[in-house]
Amino acid sequence: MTLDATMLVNRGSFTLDASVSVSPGETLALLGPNGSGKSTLLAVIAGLLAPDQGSVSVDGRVLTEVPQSGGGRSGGGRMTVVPAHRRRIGLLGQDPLLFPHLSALENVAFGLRSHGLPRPHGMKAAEARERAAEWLDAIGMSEFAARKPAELSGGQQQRVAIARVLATEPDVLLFDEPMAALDVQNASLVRTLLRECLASRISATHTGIHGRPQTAPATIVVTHDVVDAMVLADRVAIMDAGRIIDSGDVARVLGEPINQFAATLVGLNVLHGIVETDELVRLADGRGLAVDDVAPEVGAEVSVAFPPSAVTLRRESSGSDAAAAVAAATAAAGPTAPEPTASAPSHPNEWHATVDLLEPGLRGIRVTLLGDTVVAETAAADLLAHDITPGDRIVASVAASQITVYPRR
Amino acid sequence: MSVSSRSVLTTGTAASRSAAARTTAAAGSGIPRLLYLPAALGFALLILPLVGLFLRADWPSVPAAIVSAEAQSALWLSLQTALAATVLCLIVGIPLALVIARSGNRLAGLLRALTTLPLVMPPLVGGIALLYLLGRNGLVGSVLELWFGIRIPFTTGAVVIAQSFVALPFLVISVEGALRTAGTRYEAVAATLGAGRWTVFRRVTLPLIMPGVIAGTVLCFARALGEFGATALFAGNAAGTTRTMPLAIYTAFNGAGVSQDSAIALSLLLVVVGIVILLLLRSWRTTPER
Repeated sequence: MTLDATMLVNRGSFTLDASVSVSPGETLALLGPNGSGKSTLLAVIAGLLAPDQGSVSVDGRVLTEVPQSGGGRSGGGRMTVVPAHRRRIGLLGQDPLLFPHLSALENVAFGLRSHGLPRPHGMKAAEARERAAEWLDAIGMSEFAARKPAELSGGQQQRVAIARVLATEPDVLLFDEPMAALDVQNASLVRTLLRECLASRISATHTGIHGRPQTAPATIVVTHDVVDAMVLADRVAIMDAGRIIDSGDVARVLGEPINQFAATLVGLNVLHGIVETDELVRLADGRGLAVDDVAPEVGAEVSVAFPPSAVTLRRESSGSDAAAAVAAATAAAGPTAPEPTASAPSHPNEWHATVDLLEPGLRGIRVTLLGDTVVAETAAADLLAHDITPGDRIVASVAASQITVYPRR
Repeated sequence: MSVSSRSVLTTGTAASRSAAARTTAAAGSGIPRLLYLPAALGFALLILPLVGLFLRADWPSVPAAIVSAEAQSALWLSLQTALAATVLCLIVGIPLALVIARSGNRLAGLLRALTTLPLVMPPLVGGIALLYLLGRNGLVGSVLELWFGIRIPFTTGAVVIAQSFVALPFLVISVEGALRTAGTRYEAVAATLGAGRWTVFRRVTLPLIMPGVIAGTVLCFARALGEFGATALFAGNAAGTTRTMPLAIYTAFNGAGVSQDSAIALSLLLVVVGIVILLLLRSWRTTPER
């Protein structure tokens, strides 16, 4: 089932203006920080929110159609908003929201029993329970069938919630930060389960509840965690302040961020510049960066990306006069490409900076530099060995082999 | 801290136990000691009148007063009308609470204020108002009598209406609070699972707010059982049809000095009935689930 959605939502100072299209069986990861409009986008698709303008359709079946308002409700065309329970769109949020008064089994059976479309009401209670039991079995939760949600851990609850939403066999699956409320271990467990569900279609063995052969749903996973995007998605879209600023193949979007915002989100450093020679990129701030091989031709506008862990730091040593001299020179002339022939810096791509903050990072300690967008990530032991603390003057360097160069978009 | 507690332990177990008790008390309640005084006064205000009632009772004559035909009929009538009023309140009150809880802020505020009006109004005034609405010359009452030959005032039905009038706000407030606490998130999830509005209401909303509904029902029933003012004005005081327990007590108390004892006996009966109902509902509330 192909999902097509276009929407414009105004909420005071916030505007969501986005379009998504997801093919059957495809998973789109929507990556963005809190408040970027991801959840609002899902609410519009799920039918929980009517956009100010826009449309949502699944395989041509129009679910939402709000034409541009020509001043006044009667002015524009007809407005269609199919209610959530008739959409066959499943939504799983950050909180499992299992019905607290129902057992795990009854929770999974809930959607099967009360499915909105085939009237009169879905299936009989006994049949629904039987099928719910199959689903709990499929996700390895059979032994918890009789438990109330309060008697399950957060991770277990979320797994039951996944079974509950999958059991209704929706045309479109929406996941809104499904791992965000879980601890690392449970998040990883749930992520693995989701991956299996989306990839190999874990399911109870039967024909679809709608009496038609089941087709793979179009899936959107909203997340602020790049790991979710890597593990679950076929495609990634990056959202910033209500707009999709980049979308495409996972490897490209995550590996070649288009700007600083996207780079921060995916955990890379990104800088922009122009190819000067086939081994040197001249950055916008005048700094030169030696790179291994440049695919784009000389003179092309490019972006360069490298992981924070590729940035190494050492203290500006007072003992090395040569280094100090280079520091003085660069301070006077602005950062320059280190000359390969120069004797002083033993390493190419070095520059001087002042340590601003030390923060917890993904793989160690994240070091931000004063007046520089580049961040470094390093083991605590390294920082201690070099005795680096906030306010220190340091020499940062990045190996040419670690730098990715790609055309600027 | 640990040193001092160990030294206490060595001096004697009794001392250590009291020290432990003192620490837990201090940790558990951070209430300023001065506040215990008004708290005790408040408690006394609630309990001492009942104690007085029990002490004043002429116990040898109590059984006779309670089993008297008058008392029995009043008790029966009270239970029946209060039950009917409670059912009526549940039928209209839960939907009303739902509408208020799901309305926009301004409309909800207005509806809530209007709904709770009977709470701040003397029940006597409510009785007069009901009379002017449903009485023989009332707005609706005259139409009812003219077209259908239905006369409401001074009937058992009037008792039920008067009780519902004063008791409904308790139910609505309680249920609305529960609805607001429950929020709409579970309902949204149920909808995305394909449940229509009725299914969501029946299988999600109602079970979620059940504690609030039960609490509201208890309050509603208790208020209906004790209702006097509106009933007296709108339904009158006819033995057998509109003389509920509170009216019977009033009648006995005012009748003559000698029957004050039976008034007290009836009051005791009402208190006991109230306590029994409270206990029954509490056990019902705690047994299902968890």
